[in-house]
Amino acid sequence: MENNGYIPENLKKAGKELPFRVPGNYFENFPGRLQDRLNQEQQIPVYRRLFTFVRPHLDLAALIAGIALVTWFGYHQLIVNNQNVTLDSYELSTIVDYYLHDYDEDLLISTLIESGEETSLSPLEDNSDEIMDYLTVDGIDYSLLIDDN
Amino acid sequence: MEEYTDKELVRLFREAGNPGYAFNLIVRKYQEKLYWHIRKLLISHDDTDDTLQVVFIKTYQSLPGFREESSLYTWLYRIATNEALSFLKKKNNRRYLYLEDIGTYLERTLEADAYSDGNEMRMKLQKAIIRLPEKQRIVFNMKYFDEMKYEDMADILQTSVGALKASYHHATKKIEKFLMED
Repeated sequence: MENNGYIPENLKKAGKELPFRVPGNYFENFPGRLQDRLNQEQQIPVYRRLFTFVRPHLDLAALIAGIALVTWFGYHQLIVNNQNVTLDSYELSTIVDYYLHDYDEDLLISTLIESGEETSLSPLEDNSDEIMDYLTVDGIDYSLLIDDN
Repeated sequence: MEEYTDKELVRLFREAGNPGYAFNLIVRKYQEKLYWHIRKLLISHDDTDDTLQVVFIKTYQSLPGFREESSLYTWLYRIATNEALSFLKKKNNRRYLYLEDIGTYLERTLEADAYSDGNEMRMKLQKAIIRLPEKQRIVFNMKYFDEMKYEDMADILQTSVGALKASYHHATKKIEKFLMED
């Protein structure tokens, strides 16, 4: 590293004078102007001085509040509202009716069994007459059914 | 006017019945030095004038709690440096909106300020200084123009003498290179 006193050639040419000046009598008048400003500052109520201090940080505070709000809503929507919902049998049957055309029979039965709800899928009792009556409503050949039985 | 030492001025401010008198003496003693220190960082006279007033207002408010761990002189320079840097930071935050960095803003101010003049070489030197990183700019100004001791600078900027010497060395190299370019 070079000596502290070393000044390169071009820098030496530029010299140490500044290309700045001040208005006439600036330094003579400055203490008076400063005194006026100090008096004004002392007359400003404390809450206004506090607001002047806080104001530059208000945008940051608003940003943090916004992020906190969005996070809270997001949490509320995603976690709280997404908890397991238990359906009673009426709601379940309504849903099943609505989506019935998309279900195949096996899937429907397995879903109902998994849900643990009481269903009317208890083993068939010996009520073949009723079944035959039900099936023949749709015009199925009765004799064919008898043969199958 | 009787010339008081810094210690006497602080004591006068605290103990005499009229702190305004002691404060006025402090302002008169340091206003020019601090003005030029700030002006070299902010370039614009109006910005410097405003910042200098803030510096003395903060000095007035903080003097009762001044613990004299450092001299009044270095303490005032520290306040002035911090205020000038904080002014630039605020300006920089606002200028982001106009997609103009602070260096470009200062260079434009140097060319447009009503209280800037000087020969081409001095203006070029200022442009070179403006392009330095912030810390190197402060160190270069204090060492080259104010011929301040490294120990005092270390106290003001709260860094080591070695780091200051390195900063000054790098700054000088960069400025010399800039001045050599046409």
